[in-house]
Amino acid sequence: MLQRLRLLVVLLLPATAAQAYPWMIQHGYTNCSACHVDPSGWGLLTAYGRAQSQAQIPMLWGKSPDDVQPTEGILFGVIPLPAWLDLGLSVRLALLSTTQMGSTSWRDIDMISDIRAGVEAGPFFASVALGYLPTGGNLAALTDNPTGGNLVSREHYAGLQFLDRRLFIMGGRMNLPFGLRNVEHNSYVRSATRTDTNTSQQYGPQIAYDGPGIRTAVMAVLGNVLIRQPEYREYGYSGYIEGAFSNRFTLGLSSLVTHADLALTTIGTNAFLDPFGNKPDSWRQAHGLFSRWHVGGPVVLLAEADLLIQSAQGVPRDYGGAGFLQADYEPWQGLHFIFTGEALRQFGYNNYGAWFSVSWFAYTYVELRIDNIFSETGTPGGLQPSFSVLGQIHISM
Amino acid sequence: MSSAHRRWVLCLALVLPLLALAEAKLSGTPTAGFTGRGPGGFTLEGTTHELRLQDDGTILRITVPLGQLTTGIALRDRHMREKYLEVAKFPELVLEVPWATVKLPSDGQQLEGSGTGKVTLHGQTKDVPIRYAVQRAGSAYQVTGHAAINLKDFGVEVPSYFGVTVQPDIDARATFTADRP
Repeated sequence: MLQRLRLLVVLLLPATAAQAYPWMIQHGYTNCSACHVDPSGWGLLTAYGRAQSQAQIPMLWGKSPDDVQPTEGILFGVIPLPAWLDLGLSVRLALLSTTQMGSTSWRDIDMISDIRAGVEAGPFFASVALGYLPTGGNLAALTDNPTGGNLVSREHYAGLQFLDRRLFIMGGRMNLPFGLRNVEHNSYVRSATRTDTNTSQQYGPQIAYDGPGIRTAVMAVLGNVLIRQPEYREYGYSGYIEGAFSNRFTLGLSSLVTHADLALTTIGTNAFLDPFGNKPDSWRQAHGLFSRWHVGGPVVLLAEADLLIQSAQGVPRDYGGAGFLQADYEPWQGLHFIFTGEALRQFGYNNYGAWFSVSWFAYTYVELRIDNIFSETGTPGGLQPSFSVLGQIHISM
Repeated sequence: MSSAHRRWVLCLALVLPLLALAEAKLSGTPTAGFTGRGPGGFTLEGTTHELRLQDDGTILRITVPLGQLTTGIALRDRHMREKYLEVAKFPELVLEVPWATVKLPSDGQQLEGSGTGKVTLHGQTKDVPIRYAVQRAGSAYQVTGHAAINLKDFGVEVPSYFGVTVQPDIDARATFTADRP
């Protein structure tokens, strides 16, 4: 029992974020596999992705965009890489201030410290991420230090690619193919569906197709074996299909169904109100739509809406939903003003969130970001307001 | 048939084709561009709104200046213009289509067709397959056309950048409205 309680607590501890930029549709990129080893995006970059991260992402400080000359390899070309090898590094440190019920708390968070490597030989490819977290991240922890300080591996998978990198068959620990792969891992659509890129990866085989005008991926979820108590591991499937109706607009459909002998408590909002935690015969479903739209100029809209269904023995079935709408405005290359509205209904409570974020890719490999998050969380006593400010520095290459 | 009748028939026979081949002139804002494919779902789209029509009654000549062709990424545009298309030396793409091979719809109708056009690009001229759709409203003809171009055929180096190589077969397209009295 104590072990299970510990498991629930660590799930609520600080989580991480990494890089995934669906707003790259602004440059006509509706697909992900040119820049990322994972055909659904996020994580380790290909050589082309590393070049784009130098040319399209950072502020240019007066330099003309067509004068940028991306370097090969990493670290400004200091470390050259052969064509069969990809290497990457991601470090994200944050300071979080939360004001609730008249009191303010401060917390520093080591969100991510990962090195990543990938190899490619003919149709074979493999990718692995390895990092260290002083707290949290237990769903991705390779070691089992109960007081924190664990080696983590969010991803490790291998596979085969065919048809000029259009068809991928992979197996291992991977991000769940579902919805937007947005960077805000604690947004309701990511946390309530447990499809965030923080630590919600699962083990299993995956087949993905990334072709002109359409991309799709389906993964059989065979449990997260890094959860030490097997009864909490989820089994099922997760997948999406997304059509690009032009190089400016996409619309996708996602679906996820999992079963576990015992339910994990939710990793997001309403964790303490979750009636399903530790209940046997747990079924979790999420089905929804998502869209990316380059409205024009420097404006991109991202949207997702998911139906949530959860059931377990002895608990009435819960029907809920999560919604996410984000506008990304990049008036100058590298400087993003991000406006986000979100809503969640889960366990009979309504929750609302409004974000104003500034993401500044001040220099190649360096992002400074601040999120101002106003949220109202449903409780038996009514909506509980809170205001958080999250400042981050992110080094990524 | 009297000689007077014969003269009228001769006049009509001369004048009617000339009316049919009256010069086509652009109206509105034209769009021209191309779609290229790379590995996976990589898609490259270039667009320009510069397009000229020349019509000598026998051949319709569509000229697309390449200097303002953009793909949404400035660095890529520069590579496209300087390294691949060599726009300074070869500033235009020209498509010539003989009127004799073009079918036009009657008023209020739409018609699709295909044939062969002569493309000049990168200093080389080749016959390429074309297909088109024409919607007619009075004297206005709304045209959407595609030409299948293989970059290698025109001596254009196949674009390749940090491991992403564009396939040499690209779809060049143009959309415009022409008034043809």
